[in-house]
Amino acid sequence: MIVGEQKDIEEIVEMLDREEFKSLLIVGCGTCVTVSMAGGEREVNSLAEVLRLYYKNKDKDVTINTDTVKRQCDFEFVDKLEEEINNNDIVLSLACGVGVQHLVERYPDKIVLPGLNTSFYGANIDNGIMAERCIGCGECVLDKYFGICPVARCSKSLLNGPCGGSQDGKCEVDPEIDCAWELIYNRAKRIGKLDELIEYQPPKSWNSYRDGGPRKLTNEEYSS
Amino acid sequence: MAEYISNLEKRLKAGQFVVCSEMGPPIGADPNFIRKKAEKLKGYVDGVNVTDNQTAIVRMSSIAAAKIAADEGLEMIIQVTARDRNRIGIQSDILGASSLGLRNVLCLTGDHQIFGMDEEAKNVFDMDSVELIKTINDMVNKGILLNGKEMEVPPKMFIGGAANPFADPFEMQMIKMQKKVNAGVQFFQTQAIYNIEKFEYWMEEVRKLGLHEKSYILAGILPTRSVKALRMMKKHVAGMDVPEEIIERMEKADDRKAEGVKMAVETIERVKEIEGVSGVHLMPVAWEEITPIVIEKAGLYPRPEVD
Amino acid sequence: MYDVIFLGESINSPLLSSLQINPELLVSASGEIGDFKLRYREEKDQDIKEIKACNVIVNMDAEKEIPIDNENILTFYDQQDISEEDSIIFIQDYDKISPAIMSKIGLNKVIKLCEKNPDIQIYYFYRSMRFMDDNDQLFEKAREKGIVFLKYEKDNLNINEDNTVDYSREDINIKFTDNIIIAPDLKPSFGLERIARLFNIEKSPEGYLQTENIYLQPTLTGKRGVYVIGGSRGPTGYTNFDQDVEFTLNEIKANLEDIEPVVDDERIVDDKKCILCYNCYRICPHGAIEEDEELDAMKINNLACQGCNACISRCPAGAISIVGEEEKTYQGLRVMMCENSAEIAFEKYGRDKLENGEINIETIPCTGSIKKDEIFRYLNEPENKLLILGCFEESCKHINGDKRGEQVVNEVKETLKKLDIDDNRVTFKRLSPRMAEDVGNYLSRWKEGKL
Repeated sequence: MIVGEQKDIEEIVEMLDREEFKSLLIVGCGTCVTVSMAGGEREVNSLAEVLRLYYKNKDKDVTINTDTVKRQCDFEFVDKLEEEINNNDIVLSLACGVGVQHLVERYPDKIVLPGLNTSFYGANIDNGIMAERCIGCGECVLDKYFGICPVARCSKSLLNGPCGGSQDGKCEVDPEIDCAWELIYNRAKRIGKLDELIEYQPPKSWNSYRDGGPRKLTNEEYSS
Repeated sequence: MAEYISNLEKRLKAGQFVVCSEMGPPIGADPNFIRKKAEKLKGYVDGVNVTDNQTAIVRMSSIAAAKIAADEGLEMIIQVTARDRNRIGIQSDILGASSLGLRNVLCLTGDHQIFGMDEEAKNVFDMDSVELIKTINDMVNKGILLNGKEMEVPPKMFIGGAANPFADPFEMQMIKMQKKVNAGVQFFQTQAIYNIEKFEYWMEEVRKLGLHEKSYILAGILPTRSVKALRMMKKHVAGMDVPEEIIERMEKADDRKAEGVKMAVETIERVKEIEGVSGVHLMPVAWEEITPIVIEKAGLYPRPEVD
Repeated sequence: MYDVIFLGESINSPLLSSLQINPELLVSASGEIGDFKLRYREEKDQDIKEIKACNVIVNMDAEKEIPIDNENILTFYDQQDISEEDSIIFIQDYDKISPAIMSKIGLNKVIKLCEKNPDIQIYYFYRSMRFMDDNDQLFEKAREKGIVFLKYEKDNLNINEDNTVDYSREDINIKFTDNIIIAPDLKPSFGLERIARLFNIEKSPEGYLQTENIYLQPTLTGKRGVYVIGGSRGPTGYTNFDQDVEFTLNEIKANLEDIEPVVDDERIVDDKKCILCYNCYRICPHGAIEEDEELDAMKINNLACQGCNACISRCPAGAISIVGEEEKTYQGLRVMMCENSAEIAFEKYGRDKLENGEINIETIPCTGSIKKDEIFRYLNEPENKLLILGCFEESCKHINGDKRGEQVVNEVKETLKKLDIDDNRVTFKRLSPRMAEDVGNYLSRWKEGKL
């Protein structure tokens, strides 16, 4: 899922302090960011209470409202917020970057601020721990690497083997990161496919990724 | 077509035990910095590497520095890393380097920018070292760019790569070395050797695969004079094997500089005897001035002629 | 419906209907005490069978690992007849200090050998002789029979590759060339990982199905109806094995008669709000939550639930609630006390010692149930202060609710500090049920802002 992390409270407050407002609407998203414990209903309520406390402490008269919709990346959900958005001066969205922008598309006259730093596509590898697994390169090569992606998980996106920088199976960039090539090697060995790694892999076609420009996908069957 | 592309290749083909060393360009734009270093190495070495923003620290570009040194009469080896330039930039650089008369290139992946002073930079890694080797090989030998376009005047480059006898997993590193040979690499420079037994074992495996016959292997030697440096390398530099005995030996030495030279010379003498080793590559860290002394003491000065 | 399922070795329990299942062949486990549903295979390639059971006992022997790199050496457990040998060396505590059961096995073994062959010479090396039961009598008996006991430290005993043993002390330096019998290290059985995962039970840091929690003694797991005995609990599980079995069988008999819910009020999941993020499943210390396939939402098994509200505090969608819960409002000084520690201490201290309305006392099932947003909301009134009293580590009835509670309070304090708001208005402290005097002390110091 898409993983995001709530911005530091100081950063959120700094963003808000740059705007003039008497009423703020905090909008949460009920899908990815709820699962990654960053922007769901509970986090929205929590943040609302913190901000109420903050403004009270500063003697500022501000009303804070909250709502959470299932997703902010579909207009049908975004439309449900029309009344509330109209009734509030500015909006703080706890959705991922997609949701924030989708809100602005529907409400182009409203200031919509991002409450999260959206980071990566990741898996939940342990309680409360999410790790990056895919960068959405648009040209999946997981078959060539037996289910471990060197594009996303190797710090240098190497396609032909490891650099010499790993120590004890960890990447030179961050000892918390497994060296993807060590994982690929172990996996290849385990399923008896080590000899397939001798094959030369040419440079990747990056135009299927953002390097080819922001992407758009049309599903013919559903778009008519 | 000429039998050899560069003087370095010529010497290796003639069966000479070559001596290469390294120079780091300045963090600045002074060409005299390079000229001074070149002066000190003249006559002692058969080829000199110029690093390419090593450890991701901004320095004068490898090609520019190499040209300045080449003009002083040295045989130069430019280094190209995959970190800072994409395929367009790299191919362009190769064409430029060749047009300036530079004839040797070492293809590297490159350290991640987190090691330098520009942590926040975007890295490129459009290609990896194997793809670099293949691309340049196709440019030189097929006269085509990566996109297939034919060049009227292709570049001339003697192509090298890095090899690490001490990194893990061992098997995977051998596969990668083989891939580099398949991609057209012509010479290797290895990681610095302190554990000679391990290096001998690695050369055995290299010989089993016949890679010493398909490429020239230059043993990496890192003369050092500091216990601290050895410990740092042992602990923090991945893929380096520094046995405790080496550190103890340096600790016990009265004159560490002399001991460092002695150890480097001994290593050179030992690797010279190993079948498949075609030369040495000296890369002293923060001690470049010791290179001529080590070469002399190892009995490798003066350099033999090459016609 | 079986009375009990044995995962691992079965135990003689004549009045109970039972079935033994190999944990490696267990496919899934669901349900709650009195109504477990297990799907399993009898043999590897056979079809899956489904049965129901009231209770489950996990009884998997610990793995034995020889503490040195020598596969040919015999251990305390080997049945080989070595009584014809001239001399033998027994070694325990070689890598880690051996558990008490190991000493018992070793002592019994050497005594038996001596009885079979009085001429045999036995040296017994130990670092720490563990006494349990009648070990001390066995020790005396062994010494009377002529077994030589030699105490050693880690650095003065060495087993060499050629199977000789070097023993050195200040006064002596001997090489032994006799047969070596070594006490193995005990490790968690491989099947425990699978059981923990399928039943959603926490493992101990060493990998056994037990933690050092006082509420889980002697054979309980966090999940009602699932018991763990012997080597599945860890090396100490062997120490009082027979008593543990008796305790467990009595529990089971009681369960067969009647199972009452532990909680008064049901906790329920709103299936429209639930997004199956599985956070509640992971955090529940009692394995009381599982997915309801039909509703496509989580459901809480009422008999397994022990009302700690960890799930409520963790649910990111706010989908879990307590049936019939009344909203209570507080003002001013408020103390949230854990019902398992602070409240008991407070009762001993005496409720009447507090003046009427001076402090609002609220009893909570566990400090792991507190919610960040609730705390912030409470602190919105400048006059409000909050003191949270919980249990000590390893004493939380709900396994690690105390840690979670402390973490939430720390996060709240961090946020307050970042916003330049006085963070002393919320405090977390730990208590045991016996600390009646301290309760009074805490409350008075806290009122004055000196805690």
